[in-house]
Amino acid sequence: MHTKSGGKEYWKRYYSLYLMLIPGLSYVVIYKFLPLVGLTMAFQDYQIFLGDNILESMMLSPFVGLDNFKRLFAYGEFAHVFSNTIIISLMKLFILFPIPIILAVLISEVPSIHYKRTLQTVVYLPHFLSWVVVFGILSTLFGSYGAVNELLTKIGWKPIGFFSDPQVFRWTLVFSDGWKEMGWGSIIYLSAITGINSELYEAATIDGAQKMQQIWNITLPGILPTIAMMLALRMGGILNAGFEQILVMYNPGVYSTADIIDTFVYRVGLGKMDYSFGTAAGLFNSVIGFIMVIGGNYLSKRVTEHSIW
Amino acid sequence: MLKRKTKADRIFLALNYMILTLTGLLTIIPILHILAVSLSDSRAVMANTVSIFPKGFQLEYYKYVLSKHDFYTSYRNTILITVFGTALSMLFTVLAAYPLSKPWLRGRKFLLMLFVFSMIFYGGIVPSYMLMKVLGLIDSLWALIVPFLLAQFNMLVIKSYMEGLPVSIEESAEMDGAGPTRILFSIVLPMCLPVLASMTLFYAVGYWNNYFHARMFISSPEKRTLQLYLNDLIISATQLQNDMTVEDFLNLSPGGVRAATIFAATLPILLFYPYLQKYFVTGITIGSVKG
Amino acid sequence: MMKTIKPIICFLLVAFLLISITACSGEQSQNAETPSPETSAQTKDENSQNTEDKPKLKVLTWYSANVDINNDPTYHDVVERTGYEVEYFMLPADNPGEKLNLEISGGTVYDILKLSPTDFSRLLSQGVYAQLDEVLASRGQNILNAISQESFDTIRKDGKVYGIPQITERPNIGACLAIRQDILDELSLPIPTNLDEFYHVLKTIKQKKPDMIPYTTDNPFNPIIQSAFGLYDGYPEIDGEITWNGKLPQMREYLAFMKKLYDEDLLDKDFAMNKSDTVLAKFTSGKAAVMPYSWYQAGAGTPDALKENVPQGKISLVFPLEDENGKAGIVPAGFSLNNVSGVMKKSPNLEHAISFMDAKLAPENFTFLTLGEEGVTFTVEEGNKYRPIMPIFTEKRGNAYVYLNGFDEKIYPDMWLARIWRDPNLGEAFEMLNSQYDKYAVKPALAYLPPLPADGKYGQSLNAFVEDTFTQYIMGVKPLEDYDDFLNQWDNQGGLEIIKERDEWYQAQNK
Repeated sequence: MHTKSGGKEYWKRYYSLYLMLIPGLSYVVIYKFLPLVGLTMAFQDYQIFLGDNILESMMLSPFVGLDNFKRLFAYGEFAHVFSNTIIISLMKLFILFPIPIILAVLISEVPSIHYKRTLQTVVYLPHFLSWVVVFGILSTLFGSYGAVNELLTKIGWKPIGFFSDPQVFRWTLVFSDGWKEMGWGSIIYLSAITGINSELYEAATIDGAQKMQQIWNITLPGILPTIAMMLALRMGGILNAGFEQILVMYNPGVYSTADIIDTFVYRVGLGKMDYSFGTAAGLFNSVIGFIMVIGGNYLSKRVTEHSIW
Repeated sequence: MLKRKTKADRIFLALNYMILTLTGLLTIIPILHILAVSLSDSRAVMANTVSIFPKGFQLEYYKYVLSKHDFYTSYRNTILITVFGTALSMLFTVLAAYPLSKPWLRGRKFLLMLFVFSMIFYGGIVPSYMLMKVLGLIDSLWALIVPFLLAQFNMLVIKSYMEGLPVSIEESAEMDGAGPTRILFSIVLPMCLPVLASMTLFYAVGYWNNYFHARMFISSPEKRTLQLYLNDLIISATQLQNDMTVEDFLNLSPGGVRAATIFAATLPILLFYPYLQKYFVTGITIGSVKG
Repeated sequence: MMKTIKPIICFLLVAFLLISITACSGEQSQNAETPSPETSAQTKDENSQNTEDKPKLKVLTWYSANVDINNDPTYHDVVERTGYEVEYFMLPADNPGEKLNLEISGGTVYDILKLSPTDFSRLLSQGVYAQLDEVLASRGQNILNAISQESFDTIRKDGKVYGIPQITERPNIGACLAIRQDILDELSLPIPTNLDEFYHVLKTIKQKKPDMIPYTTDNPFNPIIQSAFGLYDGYPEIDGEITWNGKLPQMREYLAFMKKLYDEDLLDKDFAMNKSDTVLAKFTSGKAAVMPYSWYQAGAGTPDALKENVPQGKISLVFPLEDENGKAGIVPAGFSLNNVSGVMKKSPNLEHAISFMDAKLAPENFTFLTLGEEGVTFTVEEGNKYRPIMPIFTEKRGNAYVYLNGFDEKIYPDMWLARIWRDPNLGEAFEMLNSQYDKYAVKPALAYLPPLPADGKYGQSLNAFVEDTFTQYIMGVKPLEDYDDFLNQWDNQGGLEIIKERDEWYQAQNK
């Protein structure tokens, strides 16, 4: 019974909980919130050398209101790269979100511990590769003169432009991202599955439930809080379609479908050191992301009754 | 207890093994290729003719990566940061997650909003640099720990897990007069081992792989981290400057250097993982605390 | 359970304590190294009188590969000969400009900054550098003797000098094409010297060897091919004015030609996604017949790698292609500033910094610090043919270039060749390419152009835009008919400003 009513009882019993919060909270306030002052750069024409130090420069730089945003939206390409960002992000969401979950379930159902361990280690290795390395391998295999296209022409098909055909390239992005991250992404779900009460499974087996039924009725509901939270947070990243990956793997031939907000801003801002512009683009991204997280969390609350807060 | 294996179960198991093995192969083969490249003669590497076995076995790439004095100082620095950072981070994170996992905590929604908000909004490298400067942490290893002291995502994962724990045990402990701290460390944490293990891994890997902060905040050569060292090595193998040391260039294709650095960087994590792995494995009843 | 938790808590507490200790000592040493502006102002006057007491100098430079910068043999000789304790710092290899901005605007003080001309120009406009005219006159005689007034002129601001310029060592022809001589022999084809022959060679290779890629590259430009269209100089002077060669009608012809190559499968279909090592891989594995080439690639093991994978493989060089009138040309590498060394205004050691850099250029020190000892690390014949004695030259002076703050412009261009000859393959390739220097070299209209504001502001993104658009034309993603539109965009994205500034500078130079 918790002392839900206010008053001294509550504080006397639970003050230590608030003490516990002090390290984490002060860290978040100091290291994460204080620098948010920098967001004012988005509304300025920030010149880094104006003052004697960075902060002074922030106070001295002229205020330009929404000019940076207007500049961003005024680019003819903006609507286009915005839609590319959303499309690629949604593709990745729908296709790639379930995969680590399925993988975690499959791995957890394997009886042999040695097989489990080996497979887990193998499957999370690609996470440690840089996209440059992954691209090197992919371009060798899937390039216009690569092994895959060689095979295709041998059996009489036309070669596929995995990296040069704008329509195909998005799929290349999605599946290579899946390959690289599905193993690592399954760790969270694996640990969540481990937390499910094993007696539930025993009871179900006694009742005659089969594997698929057990998975559907015990495992998945058991990790539903994790899934819901991951989904809500994932939606917060809706405008992050994979900057690092796309920057390495794209080329001017596929800009029409693969140029995202981040890569576009990157190219436009090359060498310019325009902190204001970059901050404005980032702020735009964050605002949309935050709205999405709130929205995603609300949905999750409605459908699964689990919420981040 | 009987474990009856029905026909459906056997089919499921067979399919499972097939899918997982396929996935495993799909993953391991490219990795083997990279390993082979790191051990191959540079002329084969340059021509990209290496398959999954080394062509013209040589250890030059590893020698190049491991031979410099820098390698060992940067390795030491990274280990220091990772060990202390992970320990500190886990402490901070767990201390924050526990109170926030109590649905009846006053101010909970506001505090959680704070954490999520700070996760999504980012002020940029400029103010972060300024903050580090003000705190006097520029060019200090501490500057590589502070950015990761609490990853909000990790905190949310732990909190979510704690929320899923049966309330009865904590309540009975409370009845017995135990305070929240005692409950946290004696009762709750032992029940959280799977998520603690996975978050420890996440933090460790985060600290180990960090490149961005090291590049921004570190200037002194002796404080550089492993990722910084390895990245510079790759770039130096790729730079075709008129004045580059010709001898190094003759034997070292960038592809091979890259491949060798991958294994030099990842091996420690590969060794660390098995220790944490046992907490992920289903079916282990951890103590008798559940149920 | 408490039993297992207790040691963990103890460990964490200990960890926390240890970190705090490390942090505190970290802070202390960090504070000791960076002099605050107040102390600098105070000691500035004292130091300028006290020439006996040589302070420790801090030098920031860009990233250099493979050098233990504070421990190199050249470093020790530099310290010994100049009498100055000096500590070098390097910017990261990746995106150094960002870190540079943060450090300087954040208040870190170095004595000497050795940076790229663009970084120099940017910091100069922010008032970061100290003026050098007086101190050079009193303490920089060797510097003034070694470096010409023309070089200084490229970086003057309002007639005053704020840095010590280092020009590129020696203009040389760096670019050509590598072509498979064995395939030419097999198909009885000559080495192409003009556009028609080039096209014919590629076409024949495609017909007779359909599995091969005739020509591979990683970007839409190629000076060897552009030579056939009279496109030598990026910013040539036309009718007394500077313009961008992309505006010339020949550029459209060039792009049309390249598009033709792409459409007929004569140009690598993946050229847009090729990286430089992909190009090398395709050639050395025998897949491609022609690729862009240079003398430093020749020395970097390319012929060897080719032989390894294609035993009969032989490389021949294709020189800049001629147009219908037999004219060909290429702008040599060089004719530019390599770096500029300056002293920060906030540094308290202006006089000592100049003395330090001056000492390195003193005749008795310069040759020693760049090439070493005659007869031990290098030899010289006929007064200007410098050759290295290997392997000791690399051991002792392999990284000597890192420690240069400007060089003796009269003798270093020849001395630099010694560095090339560290590998005979490299030296031979260099000589072969440059044997025709006089025939092909076209001096750029904007030789030794200083970094101009519009360049710094728009240069990089504009270049990316041009490369991307040209690629799209060649691949057929955009129609060449849009070229006028493209030119308008180019103008608006800073191109017009760049041309204007360059033209102004050019007119002032050639009054």
